[in-house]
Amino acid sequence: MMAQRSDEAVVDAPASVAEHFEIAADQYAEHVAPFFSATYDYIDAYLADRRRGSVADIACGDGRLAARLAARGHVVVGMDRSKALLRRAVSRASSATFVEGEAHGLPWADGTFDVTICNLSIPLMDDPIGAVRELARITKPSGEIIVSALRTISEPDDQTSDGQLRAFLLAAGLTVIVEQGLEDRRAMSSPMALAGLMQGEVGPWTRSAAARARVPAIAAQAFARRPGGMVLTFRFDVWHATVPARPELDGS
Amino acid sequence: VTISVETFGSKEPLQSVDVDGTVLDVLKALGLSAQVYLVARDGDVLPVDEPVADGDRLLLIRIISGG
Repeated sequence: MMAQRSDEAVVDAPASVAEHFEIAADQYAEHVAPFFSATYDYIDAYLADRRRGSVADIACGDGRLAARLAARGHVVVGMDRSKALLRRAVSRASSATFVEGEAHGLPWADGTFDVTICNLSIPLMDDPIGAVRELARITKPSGEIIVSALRTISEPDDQTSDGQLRAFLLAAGLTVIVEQGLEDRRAMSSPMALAGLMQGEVGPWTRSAAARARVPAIAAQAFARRPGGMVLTFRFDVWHATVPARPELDGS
Repeated sequence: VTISVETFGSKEPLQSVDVDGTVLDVLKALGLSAQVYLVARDGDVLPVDEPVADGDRLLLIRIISGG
């Protein structure tokens, strides 16, 4: 009963997504982002075959994708609203440029980038369609936008994304040219990794220091009681869209 | 056997499920994955083969929520 009362208090004090990525940047970078590596691998491989150009990575997090793209010779600008994650990005990718900002008001002129990426972040935004319109605005006519969402974890009916991103792209006047599903199985390596995942994810654990403090004990118990281990299957959706050659983007 | 279930961090009301079996059976009845949810009772995380009893009040803890 005590635990249930404290849970209610946790819900009463929600952290915003922005606050989460300041509070839990280290756990996110160390324990959550690695579970999303299928998306970094896919986008990196896709752009490896493309002409080198200018790439914007909006909501770049700790810069792990930006670093890989810059190493391939693209001119990469990463943007995020978390100072804590940007500090990591700067130290990871010295050949990329990083800017603090919000997806709803990007600080670049129309048609600046050949490719604009927003990986696993649009569903977390307050105004996802507005964000997609901004991605389109800063992308060159006939340029490409790549966005993605986590679809499910472990079970097909355990939906975390229902394909809304595709609708957002169409609403912003874009043409979807590729829809790609990705699947990746990942084993949890230790109780510490499980605790880091729970604390680093956007969710209720962010919302109070007391709740976060409970995580390591919960993770240790869970791990001890699952001698078979814990394997998560992640499924992602990736969409590629083009910006019209003569942009008539729906900005209304 | 009626079990009450709530989800940590959710404002969803308490659910009741009729399950005669284990923690895993409760998760299956709710259509949830044992890999993604931990189940606790009285502050104690339960193994998936733990039997449940009538009147149990379980707390579901989602370990990852996406994004």
